[in-house]
Formats: sequence, C-alpha cells, structure tokens
Amino acid sequence: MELTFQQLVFYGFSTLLLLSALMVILSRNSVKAVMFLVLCFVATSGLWMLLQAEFLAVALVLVYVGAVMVLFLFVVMMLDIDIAARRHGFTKLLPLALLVAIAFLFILHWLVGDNHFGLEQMEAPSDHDASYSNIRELGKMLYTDYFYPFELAAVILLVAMVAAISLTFRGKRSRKSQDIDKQVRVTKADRLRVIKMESSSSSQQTDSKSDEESNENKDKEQDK
Amino acid sequence: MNSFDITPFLPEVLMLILACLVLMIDLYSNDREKQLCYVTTQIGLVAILVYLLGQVNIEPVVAYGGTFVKDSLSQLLKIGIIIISGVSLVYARVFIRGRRFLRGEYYSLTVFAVLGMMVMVSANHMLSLYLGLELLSLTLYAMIAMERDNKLGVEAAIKYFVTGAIASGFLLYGISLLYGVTGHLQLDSMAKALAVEGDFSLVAKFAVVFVVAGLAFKLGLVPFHMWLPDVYQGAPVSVTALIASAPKIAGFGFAIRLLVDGLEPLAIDWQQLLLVAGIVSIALGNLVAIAQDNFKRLLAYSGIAHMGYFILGFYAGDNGGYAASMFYVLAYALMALAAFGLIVFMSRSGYEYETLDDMRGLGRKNPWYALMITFVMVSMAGLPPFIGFWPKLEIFRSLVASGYWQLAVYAIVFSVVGLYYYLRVIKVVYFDAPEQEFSFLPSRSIRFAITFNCISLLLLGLIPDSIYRYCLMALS
Repeated sequence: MELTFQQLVFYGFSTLLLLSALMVILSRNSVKAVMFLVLCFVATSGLWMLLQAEFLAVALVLVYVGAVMVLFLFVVMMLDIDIAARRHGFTKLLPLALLVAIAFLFILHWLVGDNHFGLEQMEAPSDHDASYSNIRELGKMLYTDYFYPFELAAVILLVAMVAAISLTFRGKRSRKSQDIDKQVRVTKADRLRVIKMESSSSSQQTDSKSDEESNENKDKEQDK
Repeated sequence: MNSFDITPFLPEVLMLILACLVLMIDLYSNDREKQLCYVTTQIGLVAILVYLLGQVNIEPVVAYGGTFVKDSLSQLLKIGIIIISGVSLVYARVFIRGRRFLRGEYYSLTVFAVLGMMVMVSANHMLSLYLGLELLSLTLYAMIAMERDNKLGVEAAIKYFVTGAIASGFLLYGISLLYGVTGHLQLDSMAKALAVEGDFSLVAKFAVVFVVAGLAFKLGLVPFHMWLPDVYQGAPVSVTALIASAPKIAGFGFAIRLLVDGLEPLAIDWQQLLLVAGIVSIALGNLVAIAQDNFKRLLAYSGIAHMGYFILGFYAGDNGGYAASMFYVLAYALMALAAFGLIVFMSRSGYEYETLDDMRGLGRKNPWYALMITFVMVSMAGLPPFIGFWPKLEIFRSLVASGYWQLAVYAIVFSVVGLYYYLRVIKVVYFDAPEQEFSFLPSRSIRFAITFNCISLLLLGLIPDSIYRYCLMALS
C-alpha cells in the first residue's frame, strides 16, 4: 500500500499535532508551552485545509495564532510563575492520576475508536469540486439557519467587553499629559492676566533698586 | 422565502435593547447613583413581564431554524426569572450605594444575565442552550468580582470561573459526542434519532455521563458542589441573592430541555446518575450545614440539599415529577432570594451580619424582622403552611406514585435532619441575649421588598395551587 500525497500530509500534520500537544503539557517552561500550543494550532489548520475548510483554517491561524496566542504569550511572559512550587506535591498524586488517565484513554479508544466511528460506520467526507466555496457555505449557514446562535455569540462578546471594562476601570485618573489641541488653541487672554494695581510706594522702589544692585554685583563676581 | 417573524423572540430582543439602553444611559449620566439606569432597568423588566404575562397559555412554536422554542413552560420560567431578578435589583440598589461598585454596569450586566437565562429556558438547540448558559455564566463571573477591594470576591470569581469552564468543557464534550452519534444538534430531532436503537447506544450513554456532569456542576450537585459555598460567601451579598435564585430556575429549564426534550430515550441512564447525585447532595448538604457558623455558608449547603430534593423529581420521570421539580425550584428561588435579601438588608458599609452569632437576640431588638427570618427559615425547612412545604410534598408524592417509597422515606429523614439547623437560626435569633445594636439599610424600597418577599412565602403557602396549577399546565 502506497501513501497518496494527501495521506502523507494528513499523517505529517497529525503527528505534528500530537507531539506538540504533548509538549504543551510536558515542557517545563511555560513560554515554550505556549509556543507549542501555537504549533498545535498551525497543525490543526493544516488538517482543516485537507477537509477543504480553507476559511476556518486561515481564520484559525490569523485569529488564534496571530492575535490570541500572542496576547497569551505576553501574559505568560509577564507572570512570574514559580514552576518548582507548583510541581510540589505533583508526584504524590501521579500514580492515581496516571491510572485514571490510562483507564479513560482505553474507554475513549473503545467508544470513539474504529469500532464506532471507523470507515465502515461513517463514510469518508467526499471531496468538493473546485467551485465550492467554504466562506459562502459558512456564511449561508450562519446568517440563515443559525442566525439566532450567531447573534447570541455577538451578545456574549459584548458582555465580555462590558465585563472586562467593569473589572478593570478604576475611574478617571488625573494624569499630567499634554493636549496638543488645547495648546495650539490657546490665546493670549488664557495665559496672561493684566491686573491693575495701585501705584507702588517709595519704599518698595528702593527695595527693588537694591535688589538690582545686588544682582549686578553678583554678575560682576561671576565675570571675575 | 418566507417573511421573517420577530414575535416569537420579541421578549429576548427587547431585553437586549434594554441592556444596551442602560449602557448608553450609564455613559451619558453624570449622576453618581445612576438612578436613571435603575429606573429604566426596572421599567423595562416590568414591561417585558407584562408582555409575557399576556401570553402564558400558548401553543408551542418552534422558530428560527429550530433553534428557538416558545411554549407555556418557557413563558412561565421567564416570568419567574424576571420577577426574581427584578426584586434582587431592588435589594442590590441600596447595597451597592454604599460600596465601590460601577453602578450602571451592575444594572446592565444583570439585564444581560436575565437575557442569558431567557435564552436557556427557550432553547430548542444545543447551540442556543450552550450559548445562553455561557452568557449567564460570563455575566455572573464579572458581577462576583465587581466589588473593589474585596479579595474574597475576586477569589470566589476565579473559583467560579475555573469550575465553570471545566463544566462547560464537560458539557461541550458530551454534546459533541451526541452530535457524532445522532448527526443532529436540534433537541427534538436528536431525541428522534436516539429513540432508534443503533450501534451507538453505548457512545450515547458515555456522552450522557459528560452532559449530566456538566449540568450537575452548574446546579451545584454533589460531587460537583465544591465551588458553591465559597462563591456564596465571597460574592457581594446582592450578587449572591441573584446567583442563588434566578439561575436555579434557568437551570431547571436547561435540565428539562436537555434531558427531557433532547435525551428522553436515554432517560434510564441519566435518571440513575441524577439519583446518585440527588441522594448524596441531600445527605451532604444537610449534614455539613449543621456544622456551619457562617450564615451564608449555611445557606449554601442548604442550597445543595435543596437541589438534591429538586433533582429527585426528575427521577420520578413523569410529568408529575417534572412539575413537582418546577414547583420546587420556583419556591426555592423565592426563599433563597428572601434569605440573601435579609442579609443585604442587615448589612452596612464595610460590615455584614455574616455569622450566626451576629444575629443573637435580634428577636428582642427588632421583632418584625426576626419574624421575617423565621418565615424564611421555617419555609426552607419545609414546614406547612409555608411555600417550602408543598413542593417537597409533591416531590415525595410523585416518588411514591412511581413506586420509589424508600427514596421518599430517605428524603423525609434528611428533611428532619435539616430542620435542626434551620431551627438553630431561629433559636439564636429569639432565645440568645442581644450583644449589639442592630442597624438596617435605611431605605423604604428594600424594607418594603423584604417584607413583601417574606410574607409572600406565607401567602403562597396558603394557596399553593396558584403556582402548582401552572407548573402542571406547562408540563402536561
């Protein structure tokens, strides 16, 4: 049995996906884990491309890898996570956890493996012809049959925005910052205030004269 | 192409418009108290309530590609949800006045939560069911952490968020398996596909485990109850009053839609799971509540026990049992609202009468509100003639009618155990010597609402048929 090109791509991306997913939970460095998660998404988008879901594949890379994971990376880099402290007590529960995990894996394999979802029970998805457009099909579904859940998802995003702002907004801060517009629009009347004063008395004049003299003296001293 | 009909989900649309309107008013209002936001919210809620009251008894309408259903059940649950949420806002307004809350956002988030609950109870599709649940949860996460400088609140929010996310994961995994098995996400077609015995019945049962686990997480049933006491204690009390009441009604709607509408053919499987969860919840809730000194934690554990009784109605597995559960959840929502409303009422800025010791001797200082606490406690314990008695009776009756009398006896025994800690509260209130002066929130609206809420427990208990008749009608 020889491999077709598509099978080669499928197995390549699947192996990549499984290995990188494994590395997400195994790597000690959380930044590396995030990077492996990115690799996970890229491999998944490759698999989706094989199913001719090109819009989803591109959206996955653009949205998740391009935006979400980068943001996530920032957060992970800023957090000071002490891995050693978190690992403490990890090995104590490891046998139990492994037992549960392996048992679960067997049940999963038995239930959702080949004997229920194999090619005998489920047909392989048929290939679409060249005129098939994934975006158009998705758009049709979203805006007709599924418009109600679609709008609900939009409302959830709105709530997420309101919630995020309400959790972080700490009121207006009086920060000292420049406002260029205000600075340009300023007029003479804003800055300069002309006040009429009574004519000054003679004693003040003498004071100011003496001040001026002392200033001159200082200047001379500096010259020397 | 048929024309688009907006009337089936007009209440939801109006609710969304209301939420956005409150946000806009909040933006342009200079008032620190945001009175206008509050008034708009309440007027909007009342208007939608009146609209819903006008069409309680209707023929089921499935609309919008099968994602939405409007029937008597959904209308009644929506009415319950709106009333409870509206009253909780009356409590909240005075509570957040003295604290550092963003007031406008509090009101608009509450409206969004109500919208999420309405979506849940009238969903006919796994997607709308799940999205409604997420809309509700997301709002609640934010509201729990809303109070500034409250470390417990943030901790509670994170706990709730993490457990809620895990629960959503369980639920989604179960739903995805069900989709794989049946090829449908619409609940009625899913039930039809499951009714046909196929190769996949084992996978479907496996999926049911996950779905029920997710549901049990959200309802706070043992063994998925760990978040509940911490969240009830840590959240601002006015938010707790909302979390403990209205979402339980939505949870009932969620369970009915998911389990009865969607997974009816697998009833034997999910009933066994719910039975175990119910039995353990009743025992653990009632026993652990005895050891609590904190009034909020006591109410949380009593809430776990109540959810245990409530879910037994599903085990009876006929319309009488579901109607009894619906009656139970409506009555419980009213009682929980009153209980937490009283804690709101007895709080003042920076201090809450949280522990049982704080309430010592309230009966001598202020007999009227001591009487109100007594009403709530006696009703929660399930003594006649209060409202808490009748749904319990209906649950027991439907259990006996289905032949599970041992279960009914078990539930009654633990009701008697539960009586102990409810009566202990009454004992502390009336028979212990007062140690301090009591002060209440100085507001006429909350005083009126509390009195109204507590007296309604007695009045509705005298005429239980007024609610139960509608429950039977909705589920017939």
